[in-house]
Amino acid sequence: MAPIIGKAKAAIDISIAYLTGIRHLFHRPYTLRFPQQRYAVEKGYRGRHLLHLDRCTGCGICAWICPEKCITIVPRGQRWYPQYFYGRCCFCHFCVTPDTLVSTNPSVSPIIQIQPGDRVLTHTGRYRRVREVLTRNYSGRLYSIKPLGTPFPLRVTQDHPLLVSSRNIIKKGRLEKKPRAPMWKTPLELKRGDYLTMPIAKEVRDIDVYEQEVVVSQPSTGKRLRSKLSLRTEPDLFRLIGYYLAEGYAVRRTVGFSFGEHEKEYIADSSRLLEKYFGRETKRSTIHNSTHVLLHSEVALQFFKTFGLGAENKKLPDWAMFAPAEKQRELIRGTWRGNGYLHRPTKGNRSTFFEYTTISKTLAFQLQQLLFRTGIVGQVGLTSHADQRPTYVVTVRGRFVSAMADLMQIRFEDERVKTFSRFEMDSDYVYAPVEKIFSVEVHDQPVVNLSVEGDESYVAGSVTAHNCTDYCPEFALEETVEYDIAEYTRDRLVWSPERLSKPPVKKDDKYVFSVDTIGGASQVRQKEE
Amino acid sequence: MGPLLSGKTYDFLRTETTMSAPPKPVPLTTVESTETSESGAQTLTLSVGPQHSGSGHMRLIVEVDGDIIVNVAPDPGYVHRGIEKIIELRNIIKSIPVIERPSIIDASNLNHAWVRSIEEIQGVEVPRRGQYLRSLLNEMNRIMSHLYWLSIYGVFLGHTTMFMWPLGDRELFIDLAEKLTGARITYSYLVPGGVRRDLPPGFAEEAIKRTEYFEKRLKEYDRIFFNNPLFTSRAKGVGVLSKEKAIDLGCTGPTLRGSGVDADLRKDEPYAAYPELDFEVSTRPDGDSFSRAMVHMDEMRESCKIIRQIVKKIPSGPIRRKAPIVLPRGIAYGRVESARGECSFYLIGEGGDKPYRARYITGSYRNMAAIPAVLLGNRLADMPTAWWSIDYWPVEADR
Repeated sequence: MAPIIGKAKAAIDISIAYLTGIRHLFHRPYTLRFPQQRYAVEKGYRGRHLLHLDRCTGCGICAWICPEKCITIVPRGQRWYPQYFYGRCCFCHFCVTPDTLVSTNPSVSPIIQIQPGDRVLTHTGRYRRVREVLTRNYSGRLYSIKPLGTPFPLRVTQDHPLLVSSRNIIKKGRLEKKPRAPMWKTPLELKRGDYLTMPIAKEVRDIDVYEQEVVVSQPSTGKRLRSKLSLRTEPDLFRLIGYYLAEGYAVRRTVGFSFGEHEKEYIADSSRLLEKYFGRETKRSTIHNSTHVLLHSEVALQFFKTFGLGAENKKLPDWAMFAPAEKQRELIRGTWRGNGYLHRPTKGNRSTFFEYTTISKTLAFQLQQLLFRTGIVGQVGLTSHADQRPTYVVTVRGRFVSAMADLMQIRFEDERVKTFSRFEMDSDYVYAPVEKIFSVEVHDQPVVNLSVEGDESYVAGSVTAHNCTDYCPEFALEETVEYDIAEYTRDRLVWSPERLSKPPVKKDDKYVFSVDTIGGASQVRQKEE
Repeated sequence: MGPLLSGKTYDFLRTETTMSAPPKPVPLTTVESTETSESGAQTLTLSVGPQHSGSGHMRLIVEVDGDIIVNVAPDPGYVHRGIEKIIELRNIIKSIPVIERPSIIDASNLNHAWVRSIEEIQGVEVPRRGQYLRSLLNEMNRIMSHLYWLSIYGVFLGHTTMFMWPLGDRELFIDLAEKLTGARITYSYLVPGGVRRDLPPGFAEEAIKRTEYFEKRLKEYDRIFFNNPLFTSRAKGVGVLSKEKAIDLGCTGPTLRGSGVDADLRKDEPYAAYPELDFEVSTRPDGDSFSRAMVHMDEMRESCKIIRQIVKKIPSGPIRRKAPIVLPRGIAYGRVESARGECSFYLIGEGGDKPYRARYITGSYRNMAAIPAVLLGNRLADMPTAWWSIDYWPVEADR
């Protein structure tokens, strides 16, 4: 009987299979009639790129992260823009959201590098520990606020509070000068001219003797011995540090200070201080117009190493940042003697100002903070040339010039009839007016927030705020749902910035690319043949 | 490369090895020659492939006696791309799209093995929401990969409906993945420290709706294919791989579980969100083609259950934690249960943004040894049934 049952079951199963198939004859088909019917693309589809020419700075991060090397940065007129070779693009969109640690965030240490436990400056002027670093994806308006006195705009989400002192209009075109008590406000309530607050660090930790462990090697035996370096933290030492920050360098076991040949006073001063603190004789050598003060000392090298080797990496360690203001005045004096200068009125530029140039971003912002502590407002500016590294310029202008001249102990007769400064200052904050404010719509942009013990606030880009973004491009690249690459000829797979800046428009079954003539693209010249 | 790590210890990984004389090449003609075997019977050597036989270019050199297969030699390597070397030349983020390429139908699982090994060296802990999202995409990928396998299995056995249906239903999950990641197949979604995007609004309802519909479809698959005598008579008892043999050959994944071994990395070495999820490992004791096919079916049902659990249980919080782009000095072994078995990375970092060495082993590579074992002694007509039940993906094996 068993074979018959088996056969019967097989017959039933086969008929069930057929019936299941036949039932589907009356179902709607899966497929689409392709050219007429198009598949609806989900929101956020990683399709063709859209380039906002007015936002793009040509920084090249998109080209750096591109795995297929399909992006090249090409010149267009005065600027540089990315150009895509779609023959190689794999649409990973790492260029849109790079997920890397290349940071253009405007603080002394980029916000993305901050770890829980690091100390940040809060709105009360104290350094507090970061409890947690929060990241999330944000969709909505993202505000870009640039206050006077710092080169970088601050990016904040629209719901995030900033410490702001708003200003009323006294009469037409004139805002009230005196700042009111600052309040927490969102960027929505902010307008051009309002004061943003930069807190002045108040923490002072005075140490009499600075101690550091150093390793000294004996040339005769080759042994390496540990010993302790202790230096009295007198104003003189700070001046020496100032000289190092401005002019110092290290070559093998030698610390050198390079001055101009005519700066006799500073040469004598620095060599005297070096001999005083490190107990060795200095040498001098003059090459062309510069005189080098050289000290062969491994101990000195290890001491100055804490201030950074190489002009780009110059920085101040914590103990120098927390030193009392009198000592820091000496530090500023030494630094300014090296790289700074006083601009006196000339025919071309009639203004009077003190200026200091450095290529260390950290040092520029630290000097600004030191100047705040001595009651002077310095502005940090950024100048960049095509073939040079970006240079940071700390400038003291207006009514702070005489205070600065006083600090520098130079004779300065103020011949100005009136002085003017757009900054205000009290014991807690420096008030900087908003120079520029605009917002962009972003989708799924990762933003970073810090949770800080005690004060729940922090200083980003010299502005008291809460929230910064982990963006990389200036939101210049976006993803569009356009998945058509309409033209296939070999050279046209390369999409120029103009082409990227606008999605193609379909006209008579052909895709037409129009260049945005209203926005930033109008500034872009067509490629000359 | 200089004095890297501890000197000579790892040099053998990159030095050239002397190879034994290559085997005599078998011409690509269909019928090679007639030989006389030891027993006196005349055998015929056939070359199956290397044209695209449904999954990628690879060849099986099959020796038949009559129509009984007496000898099988897999001939892989037609789609070798040298991905291990490419990884050494790129930084760890740029490597992600390349790592996905060997098996784009199972991209996120391969990606997961890569980021796991990186995170082990870096000591980065992924937020819980990120872990859940990783598991979510992995399970969706597992279903997609199994459906792709099933459709090819259908067309191998001449069942065209079974070719069309799974490919159509695969769109359900491709669309879901597109909603989540922005790409349909190659996601590049998992990055060291977490994932790249958060759940879009309305995803949970959509996922529940689609998985429930898909489970109904799986019942129809059973009716039209898996209970169909046309299939069962061809698959049951064909290509038997015993439990001991499967372990000896080092099989993984559905091939191993189809032989009755309860081995699944999601349970044995729980990673991502799997320790907090409730699911079962399906095993079948027989070890024939039918059991391996049914393991695939069971896994798709379990994956649907997991997806529904994830979208209900997913915790709030950040999806990504900062991970440096630098790979510190150290060695890590990151492995995950991909759709075709264990996929692993043996990674050596030397302090730069590129790895010193990355050994990349996939499920298909491990299962290649099982191909002769399941084919020997079968009839030539049973070859598609037995061979494709292993779910061997040549591109993934050649890397």
